[in-house]
Amino acid sequence: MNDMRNGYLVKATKITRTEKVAYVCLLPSLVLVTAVIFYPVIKTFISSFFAMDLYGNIEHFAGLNNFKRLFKEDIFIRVFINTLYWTLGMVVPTIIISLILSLALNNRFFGRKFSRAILILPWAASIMISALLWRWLFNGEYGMVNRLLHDLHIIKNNIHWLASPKTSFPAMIFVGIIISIPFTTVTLLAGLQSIPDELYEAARVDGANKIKVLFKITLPLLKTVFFIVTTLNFIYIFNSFPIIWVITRGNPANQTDIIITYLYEKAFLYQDFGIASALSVITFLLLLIFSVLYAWLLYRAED
Amino acid sequence: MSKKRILVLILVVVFLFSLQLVFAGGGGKGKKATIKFMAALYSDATTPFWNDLIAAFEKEYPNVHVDLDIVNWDNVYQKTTTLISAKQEPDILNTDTIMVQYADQGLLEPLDGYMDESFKNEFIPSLLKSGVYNGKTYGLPLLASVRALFYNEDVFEKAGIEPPETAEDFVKACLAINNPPDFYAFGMPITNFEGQAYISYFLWSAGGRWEDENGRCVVNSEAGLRALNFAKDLVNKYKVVYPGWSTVNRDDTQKVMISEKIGMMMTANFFPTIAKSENPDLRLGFVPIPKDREQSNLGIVDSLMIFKRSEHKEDAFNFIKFYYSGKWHERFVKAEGMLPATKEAASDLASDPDLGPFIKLLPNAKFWPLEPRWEPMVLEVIKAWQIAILGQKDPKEALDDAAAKINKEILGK
Repeated sequence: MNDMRNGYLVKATKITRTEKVAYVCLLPSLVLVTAVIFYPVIKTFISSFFAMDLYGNIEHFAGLNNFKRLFKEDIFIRVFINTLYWTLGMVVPTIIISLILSLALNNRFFGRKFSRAILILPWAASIMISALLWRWLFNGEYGMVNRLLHDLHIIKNNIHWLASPKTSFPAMIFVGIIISIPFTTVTLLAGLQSIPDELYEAARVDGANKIKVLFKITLPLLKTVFFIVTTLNFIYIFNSFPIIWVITRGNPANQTDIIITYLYEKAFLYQDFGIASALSVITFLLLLIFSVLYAWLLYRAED
Repeated sequence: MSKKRILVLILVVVFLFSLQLVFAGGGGKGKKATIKFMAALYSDATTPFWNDLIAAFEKEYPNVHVDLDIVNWDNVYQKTTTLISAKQEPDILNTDTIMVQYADQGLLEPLDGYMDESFKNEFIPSLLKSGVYNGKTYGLPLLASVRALFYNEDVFEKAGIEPPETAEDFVKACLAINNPPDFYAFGMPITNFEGQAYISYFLWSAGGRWEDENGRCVVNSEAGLRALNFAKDLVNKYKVVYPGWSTVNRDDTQKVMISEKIGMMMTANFFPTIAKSENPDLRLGFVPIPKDREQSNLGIVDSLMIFKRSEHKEDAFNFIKFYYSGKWHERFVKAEGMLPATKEAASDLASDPDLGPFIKLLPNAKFWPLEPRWEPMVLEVIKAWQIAILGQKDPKEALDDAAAKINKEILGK
């Protein structure tokens, strides 16, 4: 154990034994990550500049043709705007609700363990299954959502949630928020618990009130975790496929598609792997730019 | 330290061993020929059926091992495409049509050489013919289904009307039973989950077709426009269509019909089997698809195909042949509520109360065109219909644009 600690404390000029062990241990994951992540990413980048047959085999160099064809699609702008709506509409409420939930669950109260368990439970269900259940819950005729609203006297006639993109898209965002909350809350809760109690005690001794403690201690120290969880959520949600695929499948006429479901349609239903690769490259770059920008903003704010 | 070193060593060994498994997987075949059969999941009865059949087959052909892979309908095409691009396709494939695209690309084995006349004679001729593309048989009919207009008998009796035979009567019936927002007359799912079925009902009934003799898409013909306007009027003018038509797919619309919230819908012959198990009180009647200018019906033939790259085509064909021997075929279609493809099974099941009436509709059923680029083509047409019915584009313009795009970009004609 001492050895390990030395490995971190001593500023190493040469590779220590501990580090060697660490590298050997990391090697398998590195190989796997290269094989299953970097290789496909690079292959997709290359593919986006080539014309391909119906099974994704490269035929000949096509320059920017795939990108040009993509931008010529009428629906592309709509899908792009949908993706932004989808991502922001889900990330912001998820983070706010999760923050409130995690602050609440960080307090000591009767039944806290039970509440935490309940919170994690939906996380255990596969998103596909949850989405399928929600598709039925949102059905205009036999769905439980209308039944509930009806019994609460909020609506008189059934709302056909899935009949129009105006209601189906927000309904799917709602489902996404419900699905995203457990992971976000649990991560934030872990962040909250890593804040040392001494700080709170010191603040109490100094006579700080609860709001001051929240803004001067809790939130600043939660920053890193907050950053990680926002970025992860952004990426997950931007690329979230199952909810839309199961509930509306992009209907009608791609008007409820986001980039990832549109991409799937292009790749596997149209078998147009050229456009699909171009779209993947754009998605990848967008997410990369977002992550870098967000990290930069956050670290700048810290200085 | 030494303990740690041992741990590292173990980890490395485990890792290398798992790599070995990944890369050499499947290398350990014995002398037995293994044929991979990718089957589609129809119902809970599917897997037990194939397991029973494979056990019996392997008893008769001890040198052949059948590797069964049951795939959900949602994933069949995606999985096959992925397997083909990795040159890992199965020996036998089961999908809901013959995969003309694969035949077109030379990926499928023509089966004519394996069949003698007596074997060919076992099939209902139109169904066998549905697997013929460019003069060669690429698929054998696993089973078939036909469509009909299903209606709620109680609702019709209460309204004092007869089930419709013509398109005109159909509109009248819709208006007679329509009572929105509590009850809609007609479920018309035109979504990218089988919207091509509803489009076919209307298109063929109006005397139109998907493609002309030269394989050009002609959904924008006068009849095509008439069909689209008919559907559009049902939604916007008569307001008799269940509002979820553009998103709620066929299966979920069936559930709405089962919960007696709509009065009519067009769907496949297996619908009564599903309805009976979920709502035994529902009295379901059916008539042929109402006729506008032409009487038509949609038939779907699910097929079995053998891939050209298969190393055991002979064994694979023996397996297919085995399926038609004994009473296996009959047992399968009965368990799945589907229609038989062989004459013998058809005559055995003619008196069956559930299947018999539909078997009668089978010989006159029309099939979808054998078009290698069928899937992208129908997606474009479905979108054009959706946009036009939603009032976002003029119907004529929507159809013209779709046909132009299909002919130029998808079919290259």
